[in-house]
Amino acid sequence: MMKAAFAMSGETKRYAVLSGLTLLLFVTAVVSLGIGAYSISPGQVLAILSEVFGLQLPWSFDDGHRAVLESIRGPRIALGVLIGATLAVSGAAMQGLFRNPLADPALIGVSSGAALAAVAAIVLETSLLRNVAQILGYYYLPAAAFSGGFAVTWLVYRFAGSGGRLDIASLLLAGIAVNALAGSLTGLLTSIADDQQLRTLTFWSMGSLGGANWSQVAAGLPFFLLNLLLLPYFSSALNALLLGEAEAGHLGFSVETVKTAVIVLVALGVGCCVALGGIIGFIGLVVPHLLRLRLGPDHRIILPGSALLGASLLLASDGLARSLAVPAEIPIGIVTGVLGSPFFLWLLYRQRMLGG
Amino acid sequence: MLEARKIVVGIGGKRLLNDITLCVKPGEVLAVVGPNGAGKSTLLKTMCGDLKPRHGFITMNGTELDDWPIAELARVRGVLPQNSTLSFPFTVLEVVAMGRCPHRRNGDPAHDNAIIRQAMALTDTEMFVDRIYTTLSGGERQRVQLARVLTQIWEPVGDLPRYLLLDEPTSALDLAHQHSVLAIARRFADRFQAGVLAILHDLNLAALYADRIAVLHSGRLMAFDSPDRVLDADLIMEIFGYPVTIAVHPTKTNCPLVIPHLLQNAE
Repeated sequence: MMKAAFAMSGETKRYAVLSGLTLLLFVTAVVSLGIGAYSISPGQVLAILSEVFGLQLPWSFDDGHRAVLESIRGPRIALGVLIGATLAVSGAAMQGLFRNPLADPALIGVSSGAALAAVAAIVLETSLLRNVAQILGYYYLPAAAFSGGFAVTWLVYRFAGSGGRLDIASLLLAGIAVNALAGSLTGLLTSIADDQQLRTLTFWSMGSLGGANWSQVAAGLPFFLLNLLLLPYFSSALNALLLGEAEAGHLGFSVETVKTAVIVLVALGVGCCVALGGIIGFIGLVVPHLLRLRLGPDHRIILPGSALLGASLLLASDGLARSLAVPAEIPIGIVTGVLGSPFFLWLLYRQRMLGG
Repeated sequence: MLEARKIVVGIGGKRLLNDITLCVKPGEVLAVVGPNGAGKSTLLKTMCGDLKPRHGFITMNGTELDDWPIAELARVRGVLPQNSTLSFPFTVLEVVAMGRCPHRRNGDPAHDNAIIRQAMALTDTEMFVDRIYTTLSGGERQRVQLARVLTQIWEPVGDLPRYLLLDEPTSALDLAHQHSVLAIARRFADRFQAGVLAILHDLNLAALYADRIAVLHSGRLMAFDSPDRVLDADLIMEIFGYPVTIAVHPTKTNCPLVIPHLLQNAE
């Protein structure tokens, strides 16, 4: 009996789960590529995709189909995959770092900082920041959001660290205080915005993948990839951190380095998500939680699993956002919020019922 | 040898440890005893590097603790915490397997599994292998944590002496498991020439299993010698403020037996 338990260890389960989630993401992506005002069947999507590799599939399509896929849906789905994956992996890593399954990437101030900077950029675009806006052109808003997110995280990080040690409880408290401050300043700026600015920033603060293009994807790709490829490297360290910081140190992990690296990678990744897609809640909170319920807390499964499931869920939400109120689009942050909040409450309820 | 030389530890203006010099030799079990607040846990935390001494230093195998690469230290020294804050639902097997983290680079899974299995057999935790750690009782968790730490230093690394630091390893255990845990520590010392430092509350457990006992009181080292020399009724009265009689253990030679008196007029 003992032998069987040991033989059935991690690896097999890990591959089975990750293959399943990869398949799910593939199917979601193919369906998403077809959804919208101009409908393309999954077969046609596959045919267009395989044409790139010189393969012929039996579904016929025309140039219109290909153009929509190439220049509109393609970048939108690619951005959706990257943002969904990054938000979910970052959420999982933060929950490990804070040793709290209810933690969220927003805790370290990256989202509120990005929001503040973006709102400031929109409101001050025609006055104070006119020159900056002209120089940066198209990248003006994303660059502002990204640097704002990073700056506020740095501030929170500085408050929580002293004498070469980062205190996680102080990090949480500093995060709450700085989030509140950034929220108030955002409110102040919102109150002096004119109608046109208000529309831009409302749309932005509720999140959207609309208007995604390949140059956005290319600009964000390095940051997304840093986050997605390097965070799983800290899986074992995050597992050990759940035992306690001292225990992780005794197991040979450089705890301070791990904490700093995780925070920097999350700030880079989530800052990029907010810069390109606005504020999209609940993916980072719900996805890792959901996986943990089924698979246990091992970060070696939870981190890559979250990336795959987060990408699938964001694509599904985006599909709903595009198709529920055709020809209008619902902001994707609203979709994830409307679906995510009740689900989260259900998780809490379930946890209390089970006495956890 | 794991050695503390003239260490002074303080937090703010308060001195928690004052001028303490002691050592754990390979192959010996050292028990640290003392009343609550004497500085026992502070001593253990300093000896494993979690706290930095204000003066003095800690050396392991002749090298100062700060100069040890942290990953290398983890291969020859295990530390059992007093209580673990783990609140995520890992299985017991996953918790014990974390002890192999420091060896993962050159480990093969079958070898790791064999060690995990032996450590779990030794700590009597095999029957929990698939249980969720957070559903175990306090004593069961303590044994699982011990299995994790044993897994960590199970095999020799070159001919470096290994060390095991245990912070109140028996506090949540029933009679049989208290003895089995200390017997494991004893066996580690005898068979593998490992140095063991254990914080204990029960003076009789200390007398039965330790080669030497260090008595702490208000951050000072009051006695540091073999059990039959340290365990003295006057010293115990002075330090713990409680009257005892020292008898001779009926089955073990040279082993004192501490018998507490019944206080009169204890209303």
